[in-house]
Amino acid sequence: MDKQECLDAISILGAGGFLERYKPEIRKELRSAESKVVWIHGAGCSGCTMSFLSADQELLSTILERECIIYHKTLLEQSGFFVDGVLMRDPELDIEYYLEDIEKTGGYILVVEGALVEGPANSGRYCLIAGKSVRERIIKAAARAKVILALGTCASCGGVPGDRRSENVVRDFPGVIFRGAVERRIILDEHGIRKPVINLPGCPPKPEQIMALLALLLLDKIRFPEDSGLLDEYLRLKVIKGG
Amino acid sequence: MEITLDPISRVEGHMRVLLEVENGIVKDARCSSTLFRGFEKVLVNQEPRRAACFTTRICGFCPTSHAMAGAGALDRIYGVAEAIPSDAILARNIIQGLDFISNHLTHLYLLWLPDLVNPAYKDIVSCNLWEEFTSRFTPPTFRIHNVHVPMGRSYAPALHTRKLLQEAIHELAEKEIRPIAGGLEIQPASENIQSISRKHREVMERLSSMLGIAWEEWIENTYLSTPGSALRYIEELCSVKTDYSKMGDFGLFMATGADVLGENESLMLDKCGCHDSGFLSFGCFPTDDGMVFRQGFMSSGLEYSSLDIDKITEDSAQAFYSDDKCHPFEGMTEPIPADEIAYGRKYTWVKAPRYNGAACEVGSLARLLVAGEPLITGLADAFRKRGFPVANVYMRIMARIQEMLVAGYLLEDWIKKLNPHGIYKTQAERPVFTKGFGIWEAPRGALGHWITLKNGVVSNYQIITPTTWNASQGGVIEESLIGSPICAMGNKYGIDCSNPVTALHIVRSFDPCNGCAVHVINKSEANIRSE
Ligand code: SF4
Repeated sequence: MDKQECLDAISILGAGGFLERYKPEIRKELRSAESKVVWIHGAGCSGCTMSFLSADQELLSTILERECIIYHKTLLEQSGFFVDGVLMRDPELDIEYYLEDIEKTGGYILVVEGALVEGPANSGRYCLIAGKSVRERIIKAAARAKVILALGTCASCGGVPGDRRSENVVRDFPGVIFRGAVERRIILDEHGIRKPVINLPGCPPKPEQIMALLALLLLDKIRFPEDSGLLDEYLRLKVIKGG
Repeated sequence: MEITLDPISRVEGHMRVLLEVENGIVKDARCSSTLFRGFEKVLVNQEPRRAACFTTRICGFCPTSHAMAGAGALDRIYGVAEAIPSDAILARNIIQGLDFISNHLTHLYLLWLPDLVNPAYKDIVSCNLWEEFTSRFTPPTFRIHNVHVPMGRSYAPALHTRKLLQEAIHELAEKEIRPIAGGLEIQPASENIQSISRKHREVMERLSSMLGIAWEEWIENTYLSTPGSALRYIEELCSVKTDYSKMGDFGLFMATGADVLGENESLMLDKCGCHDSGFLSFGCFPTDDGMVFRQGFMSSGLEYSSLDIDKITEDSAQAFYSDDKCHPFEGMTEPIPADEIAYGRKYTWVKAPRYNGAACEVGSLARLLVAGEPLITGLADAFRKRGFPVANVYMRIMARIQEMLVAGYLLEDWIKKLNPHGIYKTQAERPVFTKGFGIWEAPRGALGHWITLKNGVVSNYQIITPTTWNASQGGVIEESLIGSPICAMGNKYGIDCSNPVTALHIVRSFDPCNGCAVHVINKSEANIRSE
């Protein structure tokens, strides 16, 4: 199963058809896949996570059992623990320390679900996690990622809370790269982070689209910068454009 | 000493809890939802149907509930609330029943039961019990003492069952479930109905094996029985010292969760997460003979009174908004400026709804207590007679388990009544009223949408969600934490501030949904100008 075969299959059969047809191969390759996913929530509704959990159950089980997802706040055991303001550095219990640890190693696939939060007045204080803004958190995680998947309309361009009817809201809740449908943001550039970003819009994207795209990334079928040509002007994979 | 849990994992959305702890006992607790999405700004000035549609993106766990509550509000605004065809009411009940089971399974297997593999229990429960907990409930990617613990064997089947339930819901509603004034969007054909029925049967088989008892037998002895006999039935089940490995997942929880029940070792989950507030339910499953689960208020002393919706007020004094207190139709608030958003006197984005001025618990436990469901009522009586509060972690989990089984039982009959030639929608042409509300029981409890229109567009869209009741300042989560020990089994085996496992059990037992909890209607600038 090489890259071209996968892409051709997706463009002919669709994401769902591809997964159906290649399931045994994908599962086999997933078992030896080295890549890991760090999944961070910004301003979203967890609907994208729920959509992902509705994908093909065999592939999903393989991904979960193989520990492909090493950070996901809704699914994993750990929480953040601070005693008198000091982080308890127990990697088995402490999600914050755990994340720091993962970031040190780097090279993961960063999935961002939900919009970045800049408001109010560019402070980012509309969303604080462990005392820091989620914008800071995502930027920090992005710095050591190998590729970033902006999952769902929220992460791609701001999504529902970024509905362009209200200018405030668009300003306060941008996507990873786009603010609203067209305005390109340079938030990562501003922090000197040049990482490939793939947008998968859709509210939520279809389960099979999320699964197919994650599988391609986990199995290293698409790599950057070599494969930048596979993306369209909105940074969507041409064969999986989302909804 | 101050313990901050931030972020709390395995809850929907972003949540933080601050505990003031003395000698292992919580002296004060502050519960914060830490994300503001400015959601309702988007709703103002929209056409009402479009606005109601947007509300399904408040929360990915419960879009269905928002669609249904929104539909109720639209029904009133379009003047068709009294004209919804009985087939449509039946179908809405089916959607709700399936959604209860789906959400409760998600809560139990993904969010709550993994609590039982906390390393705190490793050396204090028997080896057999620990072995059962870890082999069943371990979440993905988990390690203890740097040793990889494989994912529990119940995890994937639970996800699969959830998927079946979602698919069954989608036979009656578009994939992107939408609030529809006057009924449903879809006319189910025979194939749809057969598919729902097939999936339902499969789900019930799976529930039986999770329980370890055939669901028919269980329902016969609990839901269709009296509180006294239901209690005796479960006491008998729990008093048999069975081999843990032979029990179903729910059976295992039932037998080892509570101190006052049964002969097995216990996690003492009935002694934590207690409070003295009352319980509120909007009631659900309307039929020709009234609601199957009646609506109303139940005091902590288990005295029932009927629901008066006008007694609901919302207070935002401790939330990151400018102060006010009002009826939901008038509830408009502004977030405070950036430099004031810090954890001080104000510490959350969640406003505080009150019933008759008091906090109350909502959710499965409230629903079943208010409805007088025999098993939960029997258990409640048993706790009260022994001088313990009715509200506790054990009861909350038991109520969810029971509600899944009861909903499943009710669904069997309802699905049979689905008519492929039925009438599922009344025409709803245009808004005839300027105000409308829809109340609904979401899996996590009482949910209300209040819509006000001006010149045909939304001027105010107020939502009170279950988690606002439970997780607000002075709400029942804070109340349950205060006075509670933080570590396993009432601190019996010592205090470890770096692993306050009981505090986590308590917070998660309410299944808080922070996405839902945080929203505020803002007068958008455009709106202010037009006024
Ligand atoms: S894109 Fe849609 S489904 Fe995903 S987090 Fe945003 S609102 Fe929720």
